[in-house]
Amino acid sequence: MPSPDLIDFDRRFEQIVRELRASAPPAPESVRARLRELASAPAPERPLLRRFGGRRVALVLVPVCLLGLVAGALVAGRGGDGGRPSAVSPGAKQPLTARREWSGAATATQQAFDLAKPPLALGGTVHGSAPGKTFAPATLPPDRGRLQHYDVSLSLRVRDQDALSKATNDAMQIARGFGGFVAGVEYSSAETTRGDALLTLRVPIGKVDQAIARFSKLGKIREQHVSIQDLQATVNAQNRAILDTRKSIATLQEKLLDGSLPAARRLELQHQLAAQQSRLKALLGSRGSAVREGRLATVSLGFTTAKRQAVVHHTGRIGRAAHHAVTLLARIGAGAVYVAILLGPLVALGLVLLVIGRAWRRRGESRLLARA
Amino acid sequence: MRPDFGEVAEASLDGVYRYLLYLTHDASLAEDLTGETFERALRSWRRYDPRRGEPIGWLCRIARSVALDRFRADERRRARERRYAAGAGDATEARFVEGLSPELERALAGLSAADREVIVLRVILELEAAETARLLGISPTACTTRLNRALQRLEERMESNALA
Repeated sequence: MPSPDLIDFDRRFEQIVRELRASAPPAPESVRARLRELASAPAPERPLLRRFGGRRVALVLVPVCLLGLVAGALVAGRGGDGGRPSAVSPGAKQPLTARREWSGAATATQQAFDLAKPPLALGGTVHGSAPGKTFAPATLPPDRGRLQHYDVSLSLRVRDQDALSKATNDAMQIARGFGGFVAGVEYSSAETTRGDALLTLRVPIGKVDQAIARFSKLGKIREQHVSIQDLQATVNAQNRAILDTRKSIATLQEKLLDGSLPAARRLELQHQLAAQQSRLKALLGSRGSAVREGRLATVSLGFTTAKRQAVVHHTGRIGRAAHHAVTLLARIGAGAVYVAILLGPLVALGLVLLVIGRAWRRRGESRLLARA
Repeated sequence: MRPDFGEVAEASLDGVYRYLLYLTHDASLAEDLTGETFERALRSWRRYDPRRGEPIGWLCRIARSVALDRFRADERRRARERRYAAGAGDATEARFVEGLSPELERALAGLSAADREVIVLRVILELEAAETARLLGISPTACTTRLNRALQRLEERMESNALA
């Protein structure tokens, strides 16, 4: 194919070129007059939107949209943050009903105790940005005048595996320090997964509130569960039964002292005495169990390490709002990537069709001009 | 700085008219299309960017679009096409361009609009090859090749007409 610079049509077709250029016709006067009229007429009014070029509109609209997006993300971030209890300022008191479960029928005394107490007043800061809420332990002391089955379960979050090990050891020492013992320990940790430990501790009921206060400092409380069951009525009933049984035994023993008893009657009384003694033994055992149960509270402590990526603490409203805004923007970005992946092939197809259409149009124009 | 439309139109009028005259091979149609071209140019004058090229190139692009629209419309309407063909025949008989030799005029009439278009752009309007290629939507090399072939065909037709 010849290069444009290599062909000098002025020389090769000199005669034709000279004649064509020499006879180049000027525009007729009628066209010239029409043009002057056109040029002197006022410029046509353009629609408002068309007055601004596409680039100018894009230059304004794109930053405005981006600003709106960021502002929306910030507002959404603040809104999401404000709706969480983490907005409570430190030291503010807020009524928060802890999960309280009565596993058995409470006595009138216990119900009165429950009703008389106000909703658990929990102070301190609740960190809503953490995966789980943390709050101070509930102050629900046992009734020292009555025997009670006191069951507490605390779910605590610790920072990492080292903290998990330390908290487990500390919890066992605390329980022993208060005169209790460790009823059971389950401990599991791995480097890549979340570690956890579950301790079942028995603590003297008179010191359980102090123990809970100590336990709660071993991590951040995620969940707390207190269950109180009155045992006094049961023990009282057992005491009465024991008294009656002892009376029966004494009566039977007194009857057996009579030497004139017939053999058959004696044998019957001996059987009754053996049964009563056996019953007394069972009652004493039950009462002993109930008393022991009432003396020692059961504390179930669960420690869990937080996921490393989840342990992101943002202090202050601005920090949390910024965190939420960034999170929202990241989600929008992910959505944009998702949309791009979905629409990418369609856009590519559209571009290909555009190129083909343009080529087709040019081909059509060439044919049209060739025919004309 | 953006030039005044009136000045540009006045300076480019002859060029646009010549382009349309050679493209259509019809003086009256070229007059109509010239007026239409400048009307359209005035409407889109704000879009003209002097940095992208000379005004004549921009105006010829509009003129080409106007002429192609007309050709398409003529093709769709066969009656009009016949009238256009008849009109073209009349124009040939009534002198296409004053001052041309009869051989050259007949040879030009025998060329296609595409051939006449590249001739008028490169020879008469003396546009650069790159500018012409951009206007025609082809590469500069293809543009030069098309010009060369068009001039060759013109020369051959002139020779055959002279022999006849």
